[in-house]
Amino acid sequence: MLLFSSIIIGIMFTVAIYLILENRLLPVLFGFGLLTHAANLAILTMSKNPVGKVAPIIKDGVSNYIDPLPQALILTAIVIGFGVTAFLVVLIYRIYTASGSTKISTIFNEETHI
Amino acid sequence: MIHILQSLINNIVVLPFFVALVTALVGIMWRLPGSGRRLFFSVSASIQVILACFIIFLTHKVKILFLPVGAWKAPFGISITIDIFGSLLIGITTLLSLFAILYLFATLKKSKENPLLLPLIQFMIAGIILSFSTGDFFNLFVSFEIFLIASYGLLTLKSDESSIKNAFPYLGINVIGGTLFVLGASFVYGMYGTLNFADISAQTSHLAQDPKLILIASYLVLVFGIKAGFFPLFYWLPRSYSCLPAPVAALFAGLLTKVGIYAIIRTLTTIFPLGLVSIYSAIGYLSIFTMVVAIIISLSRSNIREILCYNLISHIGFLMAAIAIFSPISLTGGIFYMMHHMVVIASLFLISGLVIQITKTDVLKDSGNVWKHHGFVGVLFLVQALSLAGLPPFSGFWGKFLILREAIRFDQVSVAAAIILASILTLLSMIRIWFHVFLKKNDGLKMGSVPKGFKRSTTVVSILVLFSLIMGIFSNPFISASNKAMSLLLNKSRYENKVLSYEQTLKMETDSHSSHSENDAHSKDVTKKDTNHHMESNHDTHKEVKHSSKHFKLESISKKEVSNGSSVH
Repeated sequence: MLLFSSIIIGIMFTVAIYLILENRLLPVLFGFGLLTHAANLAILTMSKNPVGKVAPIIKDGVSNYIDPLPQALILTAIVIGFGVTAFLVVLIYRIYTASGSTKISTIFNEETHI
Repeated sequence: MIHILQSLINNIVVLPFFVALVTALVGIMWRLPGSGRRLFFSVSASIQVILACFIIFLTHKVKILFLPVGAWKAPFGISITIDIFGSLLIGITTLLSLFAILYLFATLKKSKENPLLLPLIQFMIAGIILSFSTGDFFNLFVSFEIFLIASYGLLTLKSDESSIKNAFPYLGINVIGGTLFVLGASFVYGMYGTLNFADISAQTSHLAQDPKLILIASYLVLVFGIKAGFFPLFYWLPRSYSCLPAPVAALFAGLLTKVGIYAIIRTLTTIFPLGLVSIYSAIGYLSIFTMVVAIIISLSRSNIREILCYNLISHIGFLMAAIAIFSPISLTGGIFYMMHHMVVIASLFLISGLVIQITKTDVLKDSGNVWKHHGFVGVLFLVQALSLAGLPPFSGFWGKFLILREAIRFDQVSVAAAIILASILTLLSMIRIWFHVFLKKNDGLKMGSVPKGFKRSTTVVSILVLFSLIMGIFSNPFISASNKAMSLLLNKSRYENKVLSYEQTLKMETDSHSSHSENDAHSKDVTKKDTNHHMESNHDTHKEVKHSSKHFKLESISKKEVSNGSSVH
């Protein structure tokens, strides 16, 4: 189970980095989204193997609860990632309207000295 | 009575953060910029400075302030912890935010003020204060994101083509940095089952040789290094900082990179065991490159802001060198240098703002004449430039002197050479600005009438410069405060004890206070004598720390058992 999810996390990171290194803005956006999700999945994996464990609701005679903390952390991380992604979407749209191109090589072509 | 006083003191710990947050929220509600709104913001910033001073006073009395939020016991709940190091940085942060806001009021017309500008600054300050006062990794991540998101907003506030283009790489590197940080936090949780600094410290005290621990610690140092602007990772910094308005750029330059350095120092002292020699030497190599490469780039730049940005990065290298040497005195010097550098680089950015107001240009080639017409601005610049280069009467000298002395003492010849070379080149790059902007005669440049509010903004900057001068000339209290902060950082058991066995704090405080107060030197002469003593007993400190943390580990385990037991029933 842990091996399986770590392989998935690895694949997600690979794809995310590939997308971030693309030349167009939209794949870069998806790359950042995928990157945060990969990190979230890694946090979830830290609650160890869930097979045979129960939700952390305290009852008599039950002791094999799953660790609830990573889920609390993941929630915060998802919200923050969501906010940043929303900002990124607007920023990319704004760059597109300002420069009329989605190719990063043409947008950042001239050496800008401010 | 003591109980009430104690709880009051404990709740003061979150107040600077809370005041900044509430100010930002009220600022968002109070939409239209005007005199009343400005008064509100400046009063709030002054209140934050007073609160921070009070917290510095308290930490000098009680050493570590700790608040378990919602009264959840330490390893489980959110813990807000401020020690002397954190309180000093909170003090400088609030001071800089006050001066930046006052400068902003003097230079910016009310009609041109963006309604989001002041709230975003306060959000950023709130995030920075929280990151200086937090006691666990995840909260540190959240506070990083608070000030980063505010800084994205500040960068793109002007919303013209160049600022949004420069915001994009900044956003990209920080999103990647934030993701790697979250990943690091999850690794820490997976390995030690906790995110609380004190709890990690208690669990890892005997693991200094563990390769897994060295791996995770170096990973975290790398993550914070992205934020601090380490050698290969600083290309994004000058691009984004140099398109900001002067007061905001001053805040960015003074505060944001220092948070990264703060997190590294916290990671290597409070959280993970002392004596991770391989990480120190890696930081040492990176510091050499950071110092030298950045300052050489600064010599090739042609406008004031970018030169200052590369100087900023180069001086991050000095702080890294202080961490790399990792002796008590070098850390003292590093902490002092950090405070000095926050003030000096921020005031240099403000002075560059003044110069740009006069000459209407940022480019060295087109500038000139300033010394003839505005000699006072020249004096301000000269004081801060010499302080940045580290000339004796100014504040930059003391920190640099301590770090350099330790580098030579520990035979870190390359680090010492890099410090000297970078200092000389800093002086050279400052002389370039001095010559081109202040001394040079430029007949083509029209010196327009003095802009409105110029006198007020100059006054604000000169008060900040005066503070920096005081830091240099009367450096005793600042150095002894850094020394106290350092000895508290290296005394890990104290921190663990305070956080993990919270109820016993009052009793423990009186017990351990007397034994450690001897380490805190109260004057510089004593510092020097004492540091020799420290030097020889460097290894002894490690032993002592190990010994005492073992002692506390037993306590913390029994504590955990008790709390586990109570949660099951």
